[in-house]
Parts: sequence; C-alpha cells; structure tokens
Amino acid sequence: MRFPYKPSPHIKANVSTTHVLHTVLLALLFVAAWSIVIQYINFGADYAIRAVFIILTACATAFVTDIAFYLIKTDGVKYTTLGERLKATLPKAFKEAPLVTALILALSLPVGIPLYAVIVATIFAEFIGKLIFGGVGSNLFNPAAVGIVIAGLAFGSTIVPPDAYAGATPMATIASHYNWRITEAVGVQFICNHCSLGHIFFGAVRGGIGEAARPAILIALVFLIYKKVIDWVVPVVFVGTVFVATLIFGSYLCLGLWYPVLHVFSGSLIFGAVFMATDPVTTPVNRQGRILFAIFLAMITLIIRFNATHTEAMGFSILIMNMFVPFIDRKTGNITTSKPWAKAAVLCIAWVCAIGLALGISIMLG
Amino acid sequence: MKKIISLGLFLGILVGLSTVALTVVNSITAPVIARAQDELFYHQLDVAFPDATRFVHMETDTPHTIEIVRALAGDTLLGYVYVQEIVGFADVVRYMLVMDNDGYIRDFLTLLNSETIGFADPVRLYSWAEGQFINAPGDTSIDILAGATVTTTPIIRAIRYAYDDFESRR
Amino acid sequence: MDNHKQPNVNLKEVFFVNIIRENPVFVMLLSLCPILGVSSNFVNAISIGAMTGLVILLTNIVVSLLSRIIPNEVRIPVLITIIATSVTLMEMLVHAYIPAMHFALGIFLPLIVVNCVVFGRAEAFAIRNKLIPSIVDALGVSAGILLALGLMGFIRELLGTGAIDLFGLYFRLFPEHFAIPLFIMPAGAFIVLGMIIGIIFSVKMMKQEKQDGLLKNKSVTKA
Repeated sequence: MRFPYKPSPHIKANVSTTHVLHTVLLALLFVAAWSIVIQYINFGADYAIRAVFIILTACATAFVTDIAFYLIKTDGVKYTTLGERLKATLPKAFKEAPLVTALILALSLPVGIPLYAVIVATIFAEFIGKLIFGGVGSNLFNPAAVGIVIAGLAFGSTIVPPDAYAGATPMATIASHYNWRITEAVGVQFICNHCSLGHIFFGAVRGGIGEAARPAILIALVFLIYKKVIDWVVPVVFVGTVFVATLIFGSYLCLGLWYPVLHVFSGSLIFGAVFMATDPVTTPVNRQGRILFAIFLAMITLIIRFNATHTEAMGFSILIMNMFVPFIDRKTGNITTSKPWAKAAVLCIAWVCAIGLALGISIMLG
Repeated sequence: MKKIISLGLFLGILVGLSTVALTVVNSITAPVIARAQDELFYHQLDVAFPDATRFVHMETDTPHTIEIVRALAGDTLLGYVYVQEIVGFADVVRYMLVMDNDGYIRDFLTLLNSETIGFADPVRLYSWAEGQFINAPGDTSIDILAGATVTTTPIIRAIRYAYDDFESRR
Repeated sequence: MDNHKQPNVNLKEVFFVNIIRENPVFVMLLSLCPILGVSSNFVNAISIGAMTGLVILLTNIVVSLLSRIIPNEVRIPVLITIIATSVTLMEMLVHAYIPAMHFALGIFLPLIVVNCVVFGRAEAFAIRNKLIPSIVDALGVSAGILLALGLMGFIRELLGTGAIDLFGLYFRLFPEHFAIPLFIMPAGAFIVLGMIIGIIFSVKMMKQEKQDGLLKNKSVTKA
C-alpha cells in the first residue's frame, strides 16, 4: 500500500476542511454550553455569566482579528469604498474558521481570567498562530495552543480564582507542590477531604472552563468519531499511554489504581486529547504518524507534568509536538512495505521508548 | 619555517601588548571594585539590622555559607546574617539571609547576582523571596520559582542548612 | 600586506547605509544576542547599544591603524585578540566606575566579544580601509544598533509595563494593571523582533514591487 506523499504544510481541499471544521464547531458549542451549565451549578450565576463573556469575547476578537488582517492585506486588488472592501474580506475571514480557535482557547482558559487577557491571547492565537502562516491549512502550530501558552505566560498572575476555590486547590497544589509525586497519604487526604474523583470529573475544581465539562467532552468525542471527522486512534493512544505510564509510575510510588485515573481526569488532558491533538491541520497525515504523534505527545506531557511547575502541560506539549509533525510526515509518508508487522513493531518500540523516557527522566530528576 | 616563526612572533607581541594593557587597567580598577563590594556588604548589613551597634563575624562549616554575622546591640543579640553563596544558572549568586532571634527570616539581600534578566535576576528573586519565606519561620516549605529552578533549588537547600545551623545555636 | 585599500570611499554613503538600508540588526540579523537578552527595558537597551558602539569604534580604530602590519594568515586570531582585549578593558572600567550598568547588564557586557557586528565590521571594512572611513563606518553601525536596540527596548518596556522608566522618571501610557508581562520575558523579545523584521521586509518588498511595476509599465508604453 502506498502512502501519498506531499510536502507540508498541507493544503487541503476546501470542501473537506470546511466540513471538518463545521462539525468540530458543533461539538465545541455543545461542550461550551455544558460547561456554562456546570459553572452555574458549581459556582453560581455570576461565574456562569463570566464564562459566557469569556467565550463571547474570544469569538468576537478572533473574528475581528481576521477581518482586520484581510482588510490590511490587499492582495493587489483595488476597492473603491471601505464598504466594498469590508464585504470582500468577510468570506475570507469566515474561511479561517476563527470560531473554532476562539472556542478551544476560551474553553481552556480559567474562569477567573480578566477579559483584556482573553482579548490579547485571542489576538495572538489568531494572528501569530494562524494568519501569519497563511491561514487555515498552512499553520504549523495549533493556534489555540499558542493562545493558551501566551495566556499562561503573560497573565498567569492576574487570574482571580472563584471564591469557592478558596483554600487548597487540589490540582494546583498537587501539580506545583509535589510535582505529582505524591505519597499514598497525601493522595488519600486530597481525594477524601477536598474532593472525590467524581468531583474532579464533574468539574468542581480549578481549571479551564471547558475542562470542567468532561462528560460533554467524552460525548463530543463519540460524536466526532461517528461523523468520521477525527481519527479515534489519537485520543485513545494518547490517553492510553498516559494511563499506562502513570500506572507504572504510581506503582513505583506505591499508589493504587486511582493515581492514573487522577492523572487522566485532571487538567485539560481529555480536552486536549479530543480537540487539540486531533486538529487535522497540525497533526500528521497518516495513521501511523498520528499514533507516533500521540505517543510522544503523552511522553512530553508527562515529562512536563512531573518535572515542571506549570500547572498546565497540555498547551506546551501540543506546541512541541506540532514542531515535529513535518518531520513525522516526511518519515512516514512514503513507507512501502509488504511486511505489516514491521510498522506495528516500530510503533511498539516507540511506545516502550516513550514511556521509558518519560518515567526515567522523572525518576532521575526527582 | 621562517614564516611560522615570524607569525608566531607577531602573535606573541600582540598578546604581550594586550596583557600589559589589561594588567594596567586591572590594577587601577580592581581596588575600586573590591572597595565597592565591601561598601555594599556593610550597607546591606545596616539594612538588615539598623539598630545594631556591632557585628561579629564568625567562620562556619555550614554548607553554602561563607560566614555568619551576629548582629548585636550592646550585649543583646538581635539576630544572625547568613552570607550564603550558591552556584546558580549563569554564575555565582551571593546573598544575605537575615534571620532574627526567633528563627524567622526577615530579609533576603542580594550581594552578587548576574543571572539572566527575567528569570533569576535580583528583582525577581526578591519578589519570590517576599512571597515565600520573608517574615516566615525558617522551616517553612518553600516552592521553587517557576522558570528559575536551577537557581532557586540550591537557595532553598542553603536556607535549610542555615536554619539547621540556627537551631543548633539556640 | 595585500589588503586592497579602496580609494575614494564615499563617507556619507558609508554612514547612512548602516543605519536604515543595511541595519545590522533588522536587515543583516546580526548581534541578536544582546537584542534578545537585554532589551527588556529602554535604559538597559540603550546602555548596551552604547557599550557595543564604543567597542566597535575602538576596534575599528585599532584595526585600521594596524591593518598594514597584520599578516594575512593570522588575520582572524589577531582580530579576535584585539576585540577581546578592548571588551575586557571596557568591562573592567564599567565594573569599577559605572557599577549600576554592570549590575543591570550582567553577563551581556563581556558577551560583546562574540557579537558578530564587531568582528564583521573589523573584518569587512576596517582592515582594508583607512582610519577616517573606518571611524565613520563604526559610528554608522553603532547608530544602527542603537536605533534597533532603542526601538526594541521602547516597545517591550511600553507594552510590558505600561511605562518607560528613565532613571526614575516614569512616562506612563496605561496603568500597570493592563500591561502584558509577556513582552518583558524572552518570548516577547522574539515576538517583537519577528514583528519588526516582518514589517521592515514587507515594506521593502512593497517598495520593490512598486519599482518593478513602474519598470514594467515603462517597458509596456515603450513597446
């Protein structure tokens, strides 16, 4: 079997890209709605309204950025009036699917973030993450991940967490204080006293808005797979690798089965797995490449989680793996082999190496 | 052969000239620099304990600590100043850890810090110290500074050693 | 010594080409280390620009005076020795007499040794030109670097803290609360530098296209 080989970035046919993006948009809207409801249930009306404002601001800013960009970029065509020019930019702006980027970004931001930070992060995500590279289909980096990283780096100190979080917040404490190397006692104390695993799953802890709507994300995952819009291997392999690696690490720390479950449920792991790691533009083209992508994404996420003090590892690991995607595409693009087990062997070796590296580095550094 | 000798000679003369220039300037500037360091040291001691009348320097074996200075007002002990030195990311970081009589850390004064700006520069280190352990007991748990792990990890260890030393003197 | 001496060097040309058209930072993309490392506020950026300029001037003078004697085979080690000596001398003097600048610039002061612009000007210009043109070239390049550093420092400090701090005088544009600290960090340095280079190159390309367009029009009407 021949894999079609094209140099990246890949220019996809207009129809399929639009269809993919529209379906993803639908799923994102569903997750957004659920997350707003969760915010309302857990923290009251004013935080739900804040979440709504964050989402709306991100969408509006992304759209305005696209329009502004295409207003300035003349392409040599002369327009007589500003109105005409504006009308000409609208279809171009729509093609960029700003809402998908804006929604993924907005749903990853914590609810306590000030609105001007949302605006700045969205402008960066849209402009530097997507437009400068040539628009949808030509971007190297996941634009939402760019926005998340910038929001975290630039505005991390300005986030005001909701009052209900006052006191030790489990994820932040576990992440920064213990770097995820928690003992049995500490873990049990957290799970029993502060929240249960169900609590974390259903979103009563600090994190991004959309992360809280984990059941919605899982439903969205099933929906997107059913519509054949995303490849099921990426989320499954990614979450599976994280699970196995943290299982091994957990048994090294003499913790029970709840430890890998805690890892999988916390932070934006599931959200990133479903919406960011499956982005058709910034992930490898063929299935084998995607499996490799997912494996090493898991490795990098775990290395960052275990060894760095950032509370959120997903944005960084997505960006790092995006850099390797052209390389992965080149290497897996023109493999023609009559021995199907050769490909499987490569994947298994990669899997073992990734888990070994992640755990080895963490154990060595800790 | 002649070429090599003449080239070597030329290089040797050039290096000799530059050495002479550097030595001359060094002999002029080194005392000025040393004097400025001393002035900074005593200035920081004054900042640490404005009421102290005399300072007693003590040698010590505590790891990472160059010397310990006892601050006395008359005969009463006001506190200790641990002059500590750790190897940071770029170069040596030397600072004064000011501890009062009850084991509370009162201040963190930089003496020497050439770390990269934006990561472990003196301003950032001080705001980290303010948030973590200034006006707190010497054995509080201290988080490292995100982005300055290589520099702040030995500082935290050195503070531990200082507190252990303080405990042994009580 | 067979270094070609270029007669009749246009001094004005030498000075101005280094400021805008062949700006060492934005066009030639040299000397990026201090740009990215020290330009987080305006005063620091101008300081290191001034120090780099001084080193370039001193190096150009010495190299131009010695250009007749330097054997061609050991040209590079000799240049490096001269540059290293002048940088170390300057660093020692700054450490002793302007300690605040030494504290602020830290390790970037001795790093001027490996700054490509210093070596580049010595190698490309001073070693084959007379004293006066070399001095003018050094001044032009320094002006270019100061311009680049000043612009970067200005933008980064303005967006990163909302104000420009000139030794205690604050010129505030917007409240600190709304500042974006990203621009103070190294990531912001890369982003701002990339933006500036992008703008400069797109302006250049537009000018080029206009010129090409005019030429095309001319040829059409002639035919």
